[in-house]
Amino acid sequence: MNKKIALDTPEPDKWVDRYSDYLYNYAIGRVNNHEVAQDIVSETFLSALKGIKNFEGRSSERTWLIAIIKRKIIDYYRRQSTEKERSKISFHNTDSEEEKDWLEENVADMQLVSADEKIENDELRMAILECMTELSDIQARIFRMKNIEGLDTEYICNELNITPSNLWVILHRARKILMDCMEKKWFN
Amino acid sequence: MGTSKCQKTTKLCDKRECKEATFYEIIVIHLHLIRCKSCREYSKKTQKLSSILQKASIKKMCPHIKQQLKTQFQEELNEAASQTRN
Repeated sequence: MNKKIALDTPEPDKWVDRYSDYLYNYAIGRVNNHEVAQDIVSETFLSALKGIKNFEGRSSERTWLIAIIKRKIIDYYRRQSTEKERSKISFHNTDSEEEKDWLEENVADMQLVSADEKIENDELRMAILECMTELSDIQARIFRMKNIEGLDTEYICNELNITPSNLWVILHRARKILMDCMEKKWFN
Repeated sequence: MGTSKCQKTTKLCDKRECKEATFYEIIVIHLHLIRCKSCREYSKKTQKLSSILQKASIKKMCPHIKQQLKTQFQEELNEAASQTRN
């Protein structure tokens, strides 16, 4: 039940189940486009498969996949920057220098607040997803179905061929592991 | 959290967080929490987990796309395996 992911042997047949949501959330926090994020995840898995011989097992599979997706995201922005010019922000029709300064200052502050919140939520999301990799496959699957996708207990039980009582026991264990992990990673 | 009542209560707390505890189960939780400090702690923690899950709003990859990706990736894996054999 508590099978942990081995640090040194890549298991590519399990990558999509284990890491696609993690990588997708990582990508969407950086490219802010659902389709682009999905393409980047797909490219990441294919690149990882091609370069599987380079995986030396010194880091976890997840860390290795993150290193690959980072390069994919950089490639995406490189392609973007060659396709179009960066937009320019200019302040026209301001009556005075003071007004112009106020506008620049306040717009900057507003962006800063929302950017901070966004970063915090992105970091929180990634911390939860990182903790989810500590769960066994079945725990992660049930937690995802119940607490992230919000699926019906009956549906999950039919899908996985388990009893509701089993589901609550597995979910309870999963939540406990996540709480302990988040306690270490986020609240301390 | 050693007693069977504690184990039952903590599971019910998780069920409550999924909005699936019955009225009777909620009463059972409350009656136990009044006299059990460790389960009160657990109850707080599991509520905290629910609230951070909501705040994080974890994005889900479209199941259809995920399935496509899985199939495509499996084909690549099979191809890679057959190349290794040859």
